[in-house]
This record gives sequence, structure tokens and C-alpha cells, in this order.
Amino acid sequence: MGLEITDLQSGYGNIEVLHKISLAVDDGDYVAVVGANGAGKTTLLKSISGTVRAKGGSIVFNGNDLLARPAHKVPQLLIAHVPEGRQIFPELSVYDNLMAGAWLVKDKDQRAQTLGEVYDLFPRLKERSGQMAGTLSGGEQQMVAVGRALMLRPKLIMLDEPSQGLAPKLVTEMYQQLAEVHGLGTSVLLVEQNTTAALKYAKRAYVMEQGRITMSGSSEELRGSEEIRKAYLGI
Amino acid sequence: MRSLPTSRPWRIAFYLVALAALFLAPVYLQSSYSVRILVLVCLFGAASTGWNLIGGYANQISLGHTVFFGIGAYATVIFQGTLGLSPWLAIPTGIVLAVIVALLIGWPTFQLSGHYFALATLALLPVFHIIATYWEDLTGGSVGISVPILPSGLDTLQFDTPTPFFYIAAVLLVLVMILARWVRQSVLGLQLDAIRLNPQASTLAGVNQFRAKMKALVMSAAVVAVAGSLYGAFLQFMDPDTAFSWNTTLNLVLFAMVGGVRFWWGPALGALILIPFGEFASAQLTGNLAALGQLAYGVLLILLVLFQPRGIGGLFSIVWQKATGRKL
Repeated sequence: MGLEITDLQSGYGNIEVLHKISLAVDDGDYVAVVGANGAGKTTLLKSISGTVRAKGGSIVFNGNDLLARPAHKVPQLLIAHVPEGRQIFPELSVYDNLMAGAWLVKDKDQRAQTLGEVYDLFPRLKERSGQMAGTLSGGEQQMVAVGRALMLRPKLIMLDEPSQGLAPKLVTEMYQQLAEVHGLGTSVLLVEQNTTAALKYAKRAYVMEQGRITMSGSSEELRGSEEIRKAYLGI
Repeated sequence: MRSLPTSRPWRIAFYLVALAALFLAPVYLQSSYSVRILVLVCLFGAASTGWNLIGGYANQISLGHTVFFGIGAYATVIFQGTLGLSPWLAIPTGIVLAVIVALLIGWPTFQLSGHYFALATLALLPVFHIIATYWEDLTGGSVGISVPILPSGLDTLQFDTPTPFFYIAAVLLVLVMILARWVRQSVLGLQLDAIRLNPQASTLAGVNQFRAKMKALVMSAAVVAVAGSLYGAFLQFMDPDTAFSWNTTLNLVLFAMVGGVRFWWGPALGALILIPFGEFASAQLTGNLAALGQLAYGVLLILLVLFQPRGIGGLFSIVWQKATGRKL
């Protein structure tokens, strides 16, 4: 069970970006997809969340065919997508931003409890709950975006370059918070250019080049691979 | 804003004062000319508040809402003038017809992203103007329909003074504003906010954009149709130029933008400021000076858009925040 992608072909208009990609994220897994700019990592996540329509292959999550669903119905399966570049609702308060991630959760008590958990994870958001999200710092906006995804209590959380534009200290913090989320049983699918960080925290990883998966294995194996060290880690 | 339960008594007190000021207006205004202007404020304020449900809350700019207004207006004069039926029956008829048109325009365009909705609504107005002009059996063509003078009373919506009609229009305005406030604070309001601020992220949060927009559009069309029905009853006359006029479209958008589209009370505030201003300017500035009034109006609007794009409501909320330290 979990997420299973087989021979996925996807892209924009007539341009195919992903050429028959297969990968899997098992229950409780922590998987990273690393690769250079333009390799197709973002397209992969968008195809899973349905914001880009796949052209071939299959994406199945816990027995549900994702390609048969419109994008707004994917979150109903408890898949949360944190898109690239701090996609928040700038004119809404932090509280309203978080609540925007929870309207599929009908149970009021669960909403309140999850909100408490998100505030525990990101105490800064609790302090700023009444503030307009657009006025927060970059790191805090990223917390809002991740927090909104967590409000769904996802089984699978997908993150697109969460470390982008963050100070090194905040990158470490963000990944430690993510590790906590994973520790509570959420599967993680992470897309990162920051290969060092990705291979440090993920259990397994795929390497993507020009729309194809060229390598995969445990993070430990990949960290030891000569090719990876040269091409992505710079050591 | 949502989730600010503090200082509730003050809020309620303020609403009561505003309500009293509205309903006592005929007492302190006295002249029936002023009361007539207030009727227009209420009707167009209600219509603009209706426009704002989709145009402001979700930023789906409609340039065709006059069509819903005109449908409501024609329903009244046709019912009362041609068929001899009660204008009160025209109101639900107008709502049903307006909602059908809204569904037909929203169904194809809301499945697309971008400006297709605005473009489609832009085309709607000339189409209805032409229909109203050439379907003479129904609308009386370009001559229009006049309602004969009937015994005055609530059942005919004809009165000897404008004051009773003002109370009906004021009740409509209050009801529409309650609806607008309720939508603003409901889950739908939050979804429309999300669509306006970040459509992509709203989908990822599980918002069915199509359905949320359709709900807002249907409510919006219904509200505008009711305002139109009462407008028809107020004028006791309708022709294509009055019912399907560009001016109405511009005014609905303008009142909302001047008052502040982010606020449920914004469009009504805009109507309250701009309608008397326009009437005053055209009454005082006659002859060669008429152009001057329009010029001043234009300059004021440009300044407002440049310096306070969130409208007078935005200005209020800044002052309020400075004074009380809390958001409005």
C-alpha cells in the first residue's frame, strides 16, 4: 500500500516532461527525489496532486486511482501537497491560513486538536496567529504552508523544495520538524535540489535527470555513491 | 475579519445606531427628493453588495450583472403592467430567471481559469439589450412598459409618498447585508478568499473552485434580481435603456470598489457616498458646469484607486487599527 507510480508520462501541452517514471512511497516511508533544476521534480508532484494532468501510466494511492480524480478531490484521500515557493494566502491571518487547510476535516474537535499540534510544532505560528500571513518572514511563511498541509492530518505529505531560500539554520530546523511529523506516522515525499539535506533526512531516494529516474536506493547507499558525490554533493 | 469576538457589545451598539440612522432617515430628511435618493442608495447598495459576493469576495469580475438587475425589473413591470399580477409574484420569477442565466454563464466559464468569466459577462449585456428591444410582445420593444396608476398600498407597491417604498428598500438592503456578512464568515467565504488570493493553493487545500464560484454567482444573481424587481416597481416603468444600461454595470462595480470589496459593508458604503454625490453634482452644476462635476468625480476616483486601492473601507480599517490596535 501507499503511493505507487508506474510508467508515468506527464507534461505541459505537447511537451512531455516525465518519460515513464516509476516510483513508490510505502506507508511510513520517507522518500526524497533529488536532481538538478528542470529534471521534472515539480511536475512529478503536480501530477500526483492532479494540478497537472498526466498523459499515461498510473498513480495509485492506497488502492485509489489518482488519475481519475480532479485535483480538489485528491486532498480527500489525505494527501497534502506543499507547493514550491511558500504558497500562502497573503491577506489572511495565520489562523485563517491554517484553517484553510482543514475544511475537509468535518470534526470540530479534531480540527482544534490538530491546530494545537501544529502550534506545538511551530510555536512561532501560535505567537503570530492573528497576523496577516503576507507580513511574515520567508521562513515563517514556509511554516504556514507546511502547517496548512498538516491541518489535514495527511497520510502522505509532499513537499516541493521546502528549504528554498531559507537560512541554513532554518533549513535544519525545518527538517527536524519534518522528521517529527514523519515520526508520528506520516509518509513523506520530498523533492529537493538541496541533495545534502535530502539524503541526510530521507530513508530512500531517487535521482532524477531530464524526466527519467536514473538511480535509486537507500540514502546511505546514494551518499556513498561516487557519481552522486561528484554531481550533487560537491565533495 | 473572522475570529474576533472581543468588544461585542460595542459592535452591536454600533449596528443598532446605524440601523436607527437608516430607518429614521425619512424623519430627519423631510424632503421627498432626499428620500427618493435614499431609495436609490438602498436598491443599488443592495445590488452592489450582491455583485460583491462573486466580484469582490472571489475577484471574479462580472461586467454583466445589469442583466440580472434588468431581468428583475422587467419581471415587475411585465407582471404589473402587462399581466395585471402582483409585483410580489414578479420577485421570485425574476430570481428564478436570473439564476438560470447565471448557471448558463457560470457553467462553461468557471471550468476554465483566467478571464473567461469576465469576458462572457461583458457580452451578456448587449445580448439582453437586443432581446429587450426586439421581443416587442414581451417587453414593449424600445418604447418599454409603463405600469398604470393603481390604488396605493403594499400589494401594488405604489404609494403617495416615497417614504413607504424607502422602508421596503431599506429592509432589502439590511437583509442583503446580513447575507453578505454571513457568507463572509462562512466556510464559503474562506474558500472565496482562498480563490481570490491564491487559486492554485486553494485547489491543493481541497477547494472545489468551480462549485464555490457557482454558489457565489447564484446568490449574487438572485440578490441583484430582487433589487432590480424593486427598482422596476419604484420607477413604474422600464425600457431597454433603463433596464440594461452600462451605467448600472459600472455603478455596481464602482460602489463596491470605492467602499471596499473586502468588506461586507463596503458596497453599501460606496453607494451611500457616490449616489448622493452624483445627484448633488448634477443638481448644482448645470449648463457648462455639468462637465466640471463629472471631471471632479473622475479625478476623485483615480486618486482613490491610486492611493487607497482597498477603498474607503480599507482607509477605515487602517484608522481603526491605529486607534484600537485591533483589526476590523
